[in-house]
Amino acid sequence: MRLVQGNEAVALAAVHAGCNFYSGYPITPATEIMEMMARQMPKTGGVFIQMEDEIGSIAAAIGAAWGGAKAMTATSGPGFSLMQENLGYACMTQTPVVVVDSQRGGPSTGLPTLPAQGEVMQARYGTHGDHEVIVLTASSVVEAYRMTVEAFNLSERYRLPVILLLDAVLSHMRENVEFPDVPVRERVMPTIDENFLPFGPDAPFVPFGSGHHTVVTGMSHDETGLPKALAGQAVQRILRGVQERLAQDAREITFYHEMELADADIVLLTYGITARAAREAVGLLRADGVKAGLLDLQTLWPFPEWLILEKTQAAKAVLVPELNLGQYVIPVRAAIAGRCPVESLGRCDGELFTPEAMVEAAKALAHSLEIGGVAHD
Amino acid sequence: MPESLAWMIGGDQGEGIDATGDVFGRVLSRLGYYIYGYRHFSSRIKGGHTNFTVRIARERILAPQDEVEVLVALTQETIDRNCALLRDGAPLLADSQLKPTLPEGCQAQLVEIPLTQVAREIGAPVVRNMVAVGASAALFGLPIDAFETYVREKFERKGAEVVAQNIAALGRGHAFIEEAGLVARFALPDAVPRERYLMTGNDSLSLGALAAGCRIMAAYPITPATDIMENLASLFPRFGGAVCQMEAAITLVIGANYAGARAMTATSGPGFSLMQEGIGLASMTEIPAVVIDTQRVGPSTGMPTKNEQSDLMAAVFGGHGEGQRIVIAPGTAVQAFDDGFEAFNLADRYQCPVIVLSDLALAQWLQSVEDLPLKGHLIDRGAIVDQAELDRLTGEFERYRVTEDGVSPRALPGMQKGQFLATGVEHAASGKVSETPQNRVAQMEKRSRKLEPLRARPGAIEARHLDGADIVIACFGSVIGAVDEAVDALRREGVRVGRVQVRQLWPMPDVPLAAALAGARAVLVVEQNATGEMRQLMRIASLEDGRYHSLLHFDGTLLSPQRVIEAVHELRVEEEV
Amino acid sequence: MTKPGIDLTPLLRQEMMPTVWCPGCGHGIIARGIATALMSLGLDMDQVAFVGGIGCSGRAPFYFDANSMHTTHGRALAFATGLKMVNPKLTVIVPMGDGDSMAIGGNHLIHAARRNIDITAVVFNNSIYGMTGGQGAPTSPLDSRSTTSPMGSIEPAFDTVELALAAGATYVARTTTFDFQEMPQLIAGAIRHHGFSVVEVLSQCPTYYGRLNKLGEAPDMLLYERDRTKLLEAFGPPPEITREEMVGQLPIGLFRDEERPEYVDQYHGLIARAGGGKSAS
Repeated sequence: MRLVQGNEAVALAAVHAGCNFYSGYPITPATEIMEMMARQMPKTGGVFIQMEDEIGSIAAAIGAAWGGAKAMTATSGPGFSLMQENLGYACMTQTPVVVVDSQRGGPSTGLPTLPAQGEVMQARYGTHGDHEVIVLTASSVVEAYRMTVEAFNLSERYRLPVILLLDAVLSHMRENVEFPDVPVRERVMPTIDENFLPFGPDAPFVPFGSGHHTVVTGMSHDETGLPKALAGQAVQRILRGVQERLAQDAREITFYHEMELADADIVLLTYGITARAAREAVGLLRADGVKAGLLDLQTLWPFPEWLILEKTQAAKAVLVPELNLGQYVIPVRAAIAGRCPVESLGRCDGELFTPEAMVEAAKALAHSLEIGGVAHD
Repeated sequence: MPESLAWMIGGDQGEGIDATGDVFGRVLSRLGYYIYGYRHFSSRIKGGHTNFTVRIARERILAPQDEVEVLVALTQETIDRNCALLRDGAPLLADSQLKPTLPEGCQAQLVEIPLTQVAREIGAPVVRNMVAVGASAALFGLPIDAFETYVREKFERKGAEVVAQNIAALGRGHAFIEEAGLVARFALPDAVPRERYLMTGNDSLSLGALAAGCRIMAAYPITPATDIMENLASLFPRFGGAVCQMEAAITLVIGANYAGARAMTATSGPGFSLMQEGIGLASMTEIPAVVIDTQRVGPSTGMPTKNEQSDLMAAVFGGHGEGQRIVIAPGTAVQAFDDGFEAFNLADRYQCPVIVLSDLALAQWLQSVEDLPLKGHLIDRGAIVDQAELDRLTGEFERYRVTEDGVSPRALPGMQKGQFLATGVEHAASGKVSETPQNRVAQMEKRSRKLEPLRARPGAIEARHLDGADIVIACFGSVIGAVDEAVDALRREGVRVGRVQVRQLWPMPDVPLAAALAGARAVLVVEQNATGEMRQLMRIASLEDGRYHSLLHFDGTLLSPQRVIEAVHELRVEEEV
Repeated sequence: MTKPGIDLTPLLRQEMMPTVWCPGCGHGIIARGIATALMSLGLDMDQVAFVGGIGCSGRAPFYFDANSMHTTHGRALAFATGLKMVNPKLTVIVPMGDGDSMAIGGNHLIHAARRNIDITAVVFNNSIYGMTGGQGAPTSPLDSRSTTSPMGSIEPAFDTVELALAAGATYVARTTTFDFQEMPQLIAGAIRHHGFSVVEVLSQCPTYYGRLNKLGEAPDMLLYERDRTKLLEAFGPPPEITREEMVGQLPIGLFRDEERPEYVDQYHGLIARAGGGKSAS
């Protein structure tokens, strides 16, 4: 057991996952990841660089990936906005890269030291053009560690940028932890012959220097990588391929915790830091006779609609507490499509939820729906 | 389908293909026809196949057609690539110098015409294409004098010899078709000559911005938005404005708007992604800013010269934190003028960034425009305080005062007692930094509240033929051209179909949209993207139910009315409508 | 120096031919210069990487049969930095446009120079944005015409060489597409040089810059390049350049070729000090 900070856990997990390139630019509250990596990288034979801006940071990470590294960068809202163009480049070029966004109050400079969950939609939709990404989140130091390793694993497996959303509190929080031994997906170099298609279906990621003269471009291209005529159809093929793989593997790539869902009338649906208060709130509600349960997601995107439907099947209401004006509640509401009420509990004042605030909201919801267990006085 | 004909000229890039298409289109426009002129091109300047199609009709058309009636080929590649578009027996005019051959199975009528040779005989190789124009005029039975008049005006500046050479070229081309006995092979029905504008969405949008009092434009060159910058670089100096070519354009726009100017930028996907940070600053500081995003195929560089509508989600959700943005999308050149104007009013009224989502087809293809509706527009600068109000102030000026409608009074730099701090950090009513939870909530709610009325803004949707419609098509942007044409054709067939064009995409006009779609048995959302972005937004606005279907078109080509008609028929079978 | 008749096709990616460059464009001459330099150095193309940005020059990576990366506008050097750091064995060449390197990507250029990372930047400077149709560039001279400065540019131009020298690049040269005799040698020198190299090649864009500024066709523009430049004492010791000398005629040749600790070496020294054992690759 040791006392570890959230950001530190991310850096340690990255090293465990085989990260050997880190590029970044200082920004609160993500800076400690960078400082830690500045120390860790040379010790493990990896490379660290402080770039001139966040645009350069993600560019260098993508370049490093093509140089053969497992690469990561970390930032916060303003830097994450700057990275949007090159995030799209990583999507288009199917480059494995991990981007950590430790969220603080936005928009713009906002509340630089206070937590928020304002980038849930941006992480999914921020770059222009149709694309797929994987977005993970965490609610504790140990989970930050686990999800960082998974972020690397998923980015390797699907050749996609994976975004890990933290927040100012989790980044700076210290907890006593014992790090779990999360398996690491190693990169396997295939045998390359002249028929090798670097962007073919299920093609492994083969960096530069392998002997295959790969063309990497942000232009629409076909499986060879070349931007030929009719690339429009090829892009369609490649994008659909990624979507299908993600859909097929949905159960494996969707990480979540659940608590007391079997008979829950009211389901609290949370992600990230808000799960902590929600766990306590469920206990308090149960003690008061309200049948509450918790679905806590670590995989936010691809949207686990199947899971949400499965777990809320018998629910009479769903409450979605989040540190924003109500972002993830949007697709949740759309998925549940009126089968039961879906209530947003938003908070954007830079403070965390207390369990009591959730209890109160859940009770009010139960009351309004005349769900049993709430005293009618 | 309206009765229309399409004429295509193809050759290598840099051979004046566009200019020739432009001449042909403009003369037909003068003769009273409606024109839609579109081009196939790639990201290179010279070399490589390109073609320009002029579609001609007696009613308004804003979409391509699947077939062409006449093809003029300056290269063998033009024939190989495009002859499948020709109907059987249709004339294919090819420069005899190519020793052209028809691919197997092609039933076109190959007409070899000595374009290069005639141009040489005239003594000006550059008039080759004009010979083809003269020949084409004859094929359509058009009066050659209309072309002569146009050429005279166009080349007057270049001297009498150039004019004479071009007129000779027209005549020789015409004479060739006469000798071949092909005059009026595709006679166009008469039209009433009437002067209309032939312009692109980039043209009309530039004029809309100019009319709205925009006098600062900062941008960085990017296809297909660059024309706006170039248009304004020519126009602005005459009106006291300036175009600044910037390496970070959005920041200059925010600065200029802060100073009280009406300023904008225009870009495309990659540039738009880069602007996300700046747009967030405009949201937070409540500084108006107009951003034109002329969409092209993405993600990343994608296909810079092909059409797509796939930046919608990025326009709505692209920024970190939760900043206010208004997203509007014109579909025609007239609407681009409207939105180019109204974007500034919305930005001033709601003190936030306004994103005008244009797209490549709207931005670059020529369309006939009756008139630009300048009269309907008034400049509204929103809640700018006057000096007298400030003079009466006893305390500090509160730029971010919490008001009922969320819009706060705005002072401009230079006004006495109107100083305030504009910062991207959370701030109190005075503008000074404040991170207390109470203030944060008050300011966030104030900013969010501002946009509520927009959900029911008149003009946020435009509907046609909803009464009794079994199927309603919903769309945004330039696909409205194909959709409208399809709707008219289907209704002539007796299919009860209507359409809704969503002009304002964010905030989603959920109330009027729900009302518009209430009576439909099926809703077909037509979009040029791969993931159904507008449908996702409609779903978010809780509009979606079992009636919804999508037609997604994203291979970079333009959506044709025919494709929409087919989709509606497929839907009718599926839904038994 | 290879002779004009030498076959460079083994270095080229045939399926991407013809290039997107217009007839008369100088970029093909520069590409030939790079290919000639590579041929003279006898490098294994498996270990050569081209990283380009967006614009006419950005297409160059497509045409070399090597490890090719066509990235985002202005950012090529940042991508190349990551690539070079984790795989120092690669010879990294970054073809850049003038807008690409000095407008949107100016920040990355000066920082790559400051770090002295072993990358060769070849700046294809045609004084205009070609791909988007003739807008002004940060290298467009005062008063020159472009579609965004239709009445003449009111902005002074960057001097690539001065900028690179001031920012700390350790190999800095300028040549033109007219001076093809020297160009491959200067580029080969840059590739051989262990540190950040900038070779600016003045190139002609007859389609836009030439037409808008009435400089005639490509051959006329080549002569214009000849006349507006003055060759330094070729390949002698780096000269002292004064502003006065630069008025009227632009000096071309080799401006700096000096050794300074290279960034990747420095970093690997740091790894050794930290006890990191094996290097990143």
